Amino acid sequence: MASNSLSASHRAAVGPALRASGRAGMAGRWAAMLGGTALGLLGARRGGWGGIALGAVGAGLFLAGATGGPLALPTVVLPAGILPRRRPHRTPERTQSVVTIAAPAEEVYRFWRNFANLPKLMPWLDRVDVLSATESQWIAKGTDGEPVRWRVALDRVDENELLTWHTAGETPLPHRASLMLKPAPGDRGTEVRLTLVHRHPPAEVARLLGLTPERQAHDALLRLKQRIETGELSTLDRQPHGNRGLGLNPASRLGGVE
Amino acid sequence: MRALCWNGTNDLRVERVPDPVLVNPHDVIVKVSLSSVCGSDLHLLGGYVPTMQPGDIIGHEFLGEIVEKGPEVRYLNRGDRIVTVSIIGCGHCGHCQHGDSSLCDNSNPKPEAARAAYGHCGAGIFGYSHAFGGYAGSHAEYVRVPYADFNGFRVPEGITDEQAVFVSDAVPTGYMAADMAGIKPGDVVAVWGCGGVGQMAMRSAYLLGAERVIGIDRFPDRLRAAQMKAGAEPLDYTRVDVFDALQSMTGGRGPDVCIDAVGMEADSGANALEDLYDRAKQVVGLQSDRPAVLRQMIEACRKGGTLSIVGVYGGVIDKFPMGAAMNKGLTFRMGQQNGQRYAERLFGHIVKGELDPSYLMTHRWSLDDGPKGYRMFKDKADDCLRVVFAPHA
Repeated sequence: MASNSLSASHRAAVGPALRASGRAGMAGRWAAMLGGTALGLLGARRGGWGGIALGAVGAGLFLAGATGGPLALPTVVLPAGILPRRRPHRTPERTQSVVTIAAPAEEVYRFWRNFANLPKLMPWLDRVDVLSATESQWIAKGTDGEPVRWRVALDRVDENELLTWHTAGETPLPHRASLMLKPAPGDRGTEVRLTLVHRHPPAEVARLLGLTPERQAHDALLRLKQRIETGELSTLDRQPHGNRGLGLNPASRLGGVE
Repeated sequence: MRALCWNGTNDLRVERVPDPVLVNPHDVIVKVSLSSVCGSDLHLLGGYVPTMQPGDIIGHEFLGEIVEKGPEVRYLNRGDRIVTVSIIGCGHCGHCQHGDSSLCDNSNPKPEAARAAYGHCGAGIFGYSHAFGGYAGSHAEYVRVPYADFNGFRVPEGITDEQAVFVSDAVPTGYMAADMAGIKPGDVVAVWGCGGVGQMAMRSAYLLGAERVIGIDRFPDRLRAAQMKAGAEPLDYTRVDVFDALQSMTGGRGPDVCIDAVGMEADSGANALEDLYDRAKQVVGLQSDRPAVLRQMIEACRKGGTLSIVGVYGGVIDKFPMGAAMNKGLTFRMGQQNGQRYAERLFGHIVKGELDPSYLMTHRWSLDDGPKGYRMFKDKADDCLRVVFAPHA
């Protein structure tokens, strides 16, 4: 990564900025105040609704400068907000996720076809018991501590291409699902598409299992891809870090800026 | 162990934290012998990179010795002296297989934030916020390295620790800037930013056939180092008009290749009004990054030339001169470094004496001096190019 800041403000801001943690540097604050004043004046000269709007932006800018508003906040809000909004699904009960895995379809198919593997991809499942060639019993953890169970029957089994299944008998979560495999163009591996169709709205599914179907499908495919491609799941498990609670447990500190 | 932790904007503290442990079968644990500051850390310190959490261990450019290895690590062994590429690749996804490991699909355990902001998520990075995976960084006595066979490189005999540590990040970033630009013999290359990465880009540009290299900055010691160590013609943008100077130096054509080794915290030099405008908008959130260098490169670059961007940007910019870029037929190349693609080649250049990045290490300090070291690096005091911490010294 490259970056050497060429900023004039750093020289000026070094002392105060190091102390005023989380706040804009002095130069930035002055810039905002001056810019705000300029906009305010422009707004006043223009008059009308446009002028009022300009004045309001100017006032906000001035205030941000004067109070040294936090710099990090806009970066959080902006990038996500600026992307085009995704259109909501027309049929919320149907959700689909797709991923490309750098492996032949046979390998992906073989892993998924053994439903007993699925709790490795779906941590919200406790276990899947395979009852026969076409039937299995799925046991989910359930958000209220009570296990949620359903029986699954396989419908179509087209080797290395398509697998469809549906819930059978009495269940709180009636749904059907499919896994479609298709060779990706070039040497990119296999496009894997998981579709879940629930009878209940997503909020109801999330209430029982803790995740919306959309999130379930997406997370399951992400884990499938990692398992197939790398043989492991990337993780921050048990990794060290310092004090998370600002200012708590000062005994753990050996030294610091202030 | 001791580790340098981020606790808030401009608030770094050395804390006692648990030792890292092997988690996945392809992990190794590295005992860190050297760990360098990097200009991109200043964005974290300044609060420009969101998703930092108090207690996060920072640092991503490091060298050390393997003390533990997971059962499925094949090529590396306990006792190996390795340099680790700062951006983590899994080695198996399509991007890693094609050498673009900074675009790795699998190494970021927390892809949601980056997906929401960018549409897709990039690779995990050591010590570089939770949008880039939230991995613990290397300013510590020990660090866990995932997918070790892919990300760790045994340092050949004849290469010193001081040379090797920068193959983690500064050298491949500079080299990639020059490589992406597709430099041809006879090309004139202008590099904005004479810090460690900028100087490595200058040296790499010569290695790849550039005829002339121009380095742009405002700090006299950095301009001097760019001239003496990297062979660049120095240009102080507070003293001359950059556009005029570059045209005059290139017979009115403009540089064939323009490299941005500055990134999102650029200032606008002599143009106080533009600078004020960009800073004001950054403060209130109308833009998150300041694009002064980009604007200058687009204007100065020769028609049909290439802009190569390795300075880090995080969010959105405003008043981007797309018309000039389009009508001048410019090519844009950019990205985080793919060091795994370059490490062996760079070792080769170092062994042959064609490249010696060790001079970037102007200060070698104890980890306990971490907060002080970053303050000096940020102030660019004492002719500082890089402070490197030795956690076990």
